[in-house]
Amino acid sequence: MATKNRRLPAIGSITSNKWIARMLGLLLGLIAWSAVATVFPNNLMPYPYETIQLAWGLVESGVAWPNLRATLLRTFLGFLGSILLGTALGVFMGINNYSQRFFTPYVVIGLSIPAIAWAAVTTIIYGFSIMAPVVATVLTTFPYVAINVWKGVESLEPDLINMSRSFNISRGRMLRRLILPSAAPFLFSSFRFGLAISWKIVTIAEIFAASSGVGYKLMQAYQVYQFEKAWAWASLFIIVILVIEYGIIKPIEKRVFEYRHDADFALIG
Amino acid sequence: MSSDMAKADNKEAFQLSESKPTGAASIHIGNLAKTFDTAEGTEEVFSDINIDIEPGTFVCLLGKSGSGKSTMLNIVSDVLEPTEGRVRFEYPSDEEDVTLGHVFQDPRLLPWNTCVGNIEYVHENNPDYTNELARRSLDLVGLSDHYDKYPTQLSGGQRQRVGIARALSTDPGVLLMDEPFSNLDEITAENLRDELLDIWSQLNKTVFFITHDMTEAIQLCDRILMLGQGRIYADLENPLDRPRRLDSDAFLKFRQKAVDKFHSIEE
Repeated sequence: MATKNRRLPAIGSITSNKWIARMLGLLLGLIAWSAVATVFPNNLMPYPYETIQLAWGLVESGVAWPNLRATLLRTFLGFLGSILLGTALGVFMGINNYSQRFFTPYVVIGLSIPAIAWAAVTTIIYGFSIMAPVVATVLTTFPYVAINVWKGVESLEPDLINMSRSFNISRGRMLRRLILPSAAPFLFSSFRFGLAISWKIVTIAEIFAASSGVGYKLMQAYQVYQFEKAWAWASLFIIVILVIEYGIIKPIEKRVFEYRHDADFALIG
Repeated sequence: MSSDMAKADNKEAFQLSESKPTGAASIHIGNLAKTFDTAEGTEEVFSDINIDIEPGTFVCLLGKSGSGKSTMLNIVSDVLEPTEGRVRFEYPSDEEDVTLGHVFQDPRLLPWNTCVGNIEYVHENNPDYTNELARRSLDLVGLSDHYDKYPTQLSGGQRQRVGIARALSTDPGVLLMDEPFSNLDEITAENLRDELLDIWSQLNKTVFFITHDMTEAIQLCDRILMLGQGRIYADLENPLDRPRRLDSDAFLKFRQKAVDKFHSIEE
């Protein structure tokens, strides 16, 4: 016990710098990847540095960007559609008991339908248009967003609603100033989750119904047994997702939740 | 904090505009009754309640738990509909609608808004609102250094001050206070009572104050109403001059009389 206690602060001081912690996590992942790569044939699972080389090759040859852009655009549109639809439905379900009972079965059904089923259906309906992956993404993702937002709105303090009523605050203002900020932690987790599944669904949909995009390229690589290329495409997209997470989502989150961080140095007295 | 309040000369500060003078309204509760439908039938909370309160009076409504104090306040606040009767508010010389300022037991602040933001929130229908008004309201309750702080950065007493500032900022004709100090430690509560009296004497508001604490009621009020068994069974004028010393003979004597009166009805 005593030894353990003495070690704890040391670990704490290493991990106290968040970037060191992130880099350590990433490094460990790369080591694990390399370890697995020693077991499998090289074209099935290349080493990290080979994958990065291949990915860089894709960037240099100019193939990477148009396909990444196509996938990102579809992901973004699908994500946007699902958060708009999911947030609206979630808020509605959270503030109105009747609509909650009315929509719950649909949300549950929506959660259980596999993305690939929507991808197949939308491909039949929309063919190779951008609508196929976008609509498939919206239909698969919005129930996740709705259920999170619903729970977030439900967690709102009734006292704050009563206070607002006492001061004659309109419903619109309550929605903007009270309900949405109160549900913000749930909104963020659902948006993050929504973005992550959106891109996976777009990729699946692109396998079916696209002539560009990361999914399409993955499929091409798979068909000609160039698995190492599939890894390269996947790693490119991982980099893009990491940039979005740390460059966009986290800074916004930090700003929105400023009032909570301040609680750490709350005044007493 | 008390001295901060005393030195603030805010008598004019709460005129939202030149044309609208700050004033106190009278309260007229006529023939008020409330029943609730329960599984066993209808249950009467109170009936035939008639109260007239002069402008600028500090009134306490005292009652035991379950006596219907909160129901009464909710009806007065227009959150609940009475079964019978009505509540009217009037300015002595003005036809204008009376604004009600609400102070709750828990301050009910938006945690994601600063002190100023919390005040701004309730001014949706006030075209004259500026953050200057919010800051002046915060000055009045001694929070001049806390304009941009979030509720999590404030102590319980400071949060309740923001709640009071928010209510005052709406320039209410009547201030409705629902046991505002009952969740605070006694020292903080004591300070806030003194400050409330300071503000009240500066701003001349009618105050309708709910409490279950007899000492608090006697310290604060001009008039004490006791609610029990569905009626107002006592209506006492407070004979004590201000400022009131809690340990003075007159205070203790009147307190004893009020306590005897309070317990004069069966549970």
